[in-house]
Amino acid sequence: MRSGFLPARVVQVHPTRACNLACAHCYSDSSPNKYDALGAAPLIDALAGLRAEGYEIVSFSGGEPLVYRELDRVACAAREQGYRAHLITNGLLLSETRLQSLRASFDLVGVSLDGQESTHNAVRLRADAFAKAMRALRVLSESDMRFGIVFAVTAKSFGDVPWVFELASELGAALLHLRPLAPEGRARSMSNDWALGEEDCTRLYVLGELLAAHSPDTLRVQVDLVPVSHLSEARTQFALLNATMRIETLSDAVNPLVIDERGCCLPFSYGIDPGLELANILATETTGAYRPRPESMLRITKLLERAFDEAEQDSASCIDWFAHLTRMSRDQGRERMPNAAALTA
Amino acid sequence: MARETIAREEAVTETPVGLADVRQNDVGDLRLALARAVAARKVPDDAILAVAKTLAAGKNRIRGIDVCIYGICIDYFFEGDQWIRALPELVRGKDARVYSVEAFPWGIPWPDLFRVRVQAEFDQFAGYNPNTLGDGARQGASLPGLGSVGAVGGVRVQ
Repeated sequence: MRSGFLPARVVQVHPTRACNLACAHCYSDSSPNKYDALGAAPLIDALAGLRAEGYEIVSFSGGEPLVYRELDRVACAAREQGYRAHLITNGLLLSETRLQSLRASFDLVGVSLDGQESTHNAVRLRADAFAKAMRALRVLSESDMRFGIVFAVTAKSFGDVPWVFELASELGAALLHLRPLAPEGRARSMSNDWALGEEDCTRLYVLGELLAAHSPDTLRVQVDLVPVSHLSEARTQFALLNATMRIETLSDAVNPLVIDERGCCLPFSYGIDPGLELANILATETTGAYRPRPESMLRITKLLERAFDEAEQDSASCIDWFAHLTRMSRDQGRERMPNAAALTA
Repeated sequence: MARETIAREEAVTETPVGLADVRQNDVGDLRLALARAVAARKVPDDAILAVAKTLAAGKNRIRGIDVCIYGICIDYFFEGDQWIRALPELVRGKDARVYSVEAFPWGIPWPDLFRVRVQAEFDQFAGYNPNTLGDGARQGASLPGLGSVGAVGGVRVQ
């Protein structure tokens, strides 16, 4: 059964912020200078507890997951627990040899791209980033591994969307995920000429529909935008807002669930207000710790109600729902702690 | 409205062969050319907004989008007579200036599958074709002799 906007119930794991790149748009502020990383044992325990709460996909991101030393061990354990495992990588370390070991643990590998060569390298701040991402895509294309392209859409890469669609089609990708640039982390410091405006988002929605209608059955095109006109119906898909839906597990109420590099379990999106933390896997020893608790469900319900109310009054025709939720959560957090708002200001 | 009481027999007048008025490659080129024009911002914002409202207006899964001489045609698939019940919603979009609705039985091997094509008027898209789209050139929205049948808001089941 659906829970929220996503068709499947997902745990997003960001086990480290260590990365072999320091991209200009990185929402998690990852870089080679970040050394924090979760241990395998608490992560595997947490995934077992969350599996019992109905989650079915675990998606590893970061940081760069291929520099996380425990990746294969955690992913193998997750597979044994019954998860489907996904991975999103910048592709720099994805060689044929590395792919052989990943095949045992992962169901889908996504390679992130930010545009054609000059744009990609400008964002990635590395001259060979594009060449290496393309090499990774070729390696995946020549294997029997399901793979996708995760494409960050900015004002500068917008014109490259048809190109990346053709690339995904030619390589035999299973997924083209178009993600509008979210003003989070280091992306907040990028100049305005990278940012997408309201009209750009509407245009991207139409473009995504055009490409989805054009794509072969084997290629799924997904755009992280929702028409505002769909929101009133979308409310009914959130169990916290729909009295007719029963909440028996955490995944009934919260989807996706994020585990960040500090072990925090957060609802919906990396970077959401820490006041909404559901648990910390480093402080939790029993699987029952992930049951939905009334006090945290109340806070999340308030956030959802407010996010829907504001979005429905928005003049925009399409919104990036998870970016919107993240912004709204910070507003809610500032109201709860006015002194923090003063400090931020 | 008459469109809500249309008999299935009246609505189904073409076989899937009738869709094959252009080669598959041409259709692919056309759609990709349209996507390129949208991505290159050659289609104006107001047209994009109107199309977005139309696309977002329905709950049914869109299975194809093409340009046609009226503007945009959107394809859906339905099993059995579900398309008849869905018809009001297909033509209801806020800015959907629907010109016509065509329903085709998909035929062997799926005789009970119907492809429904909704043609909506969007002047900015009308007359695009693979040879002109990339340059941003376009023909006029109306074709001689079609003015009276192309009335805004009209629905015709062929």
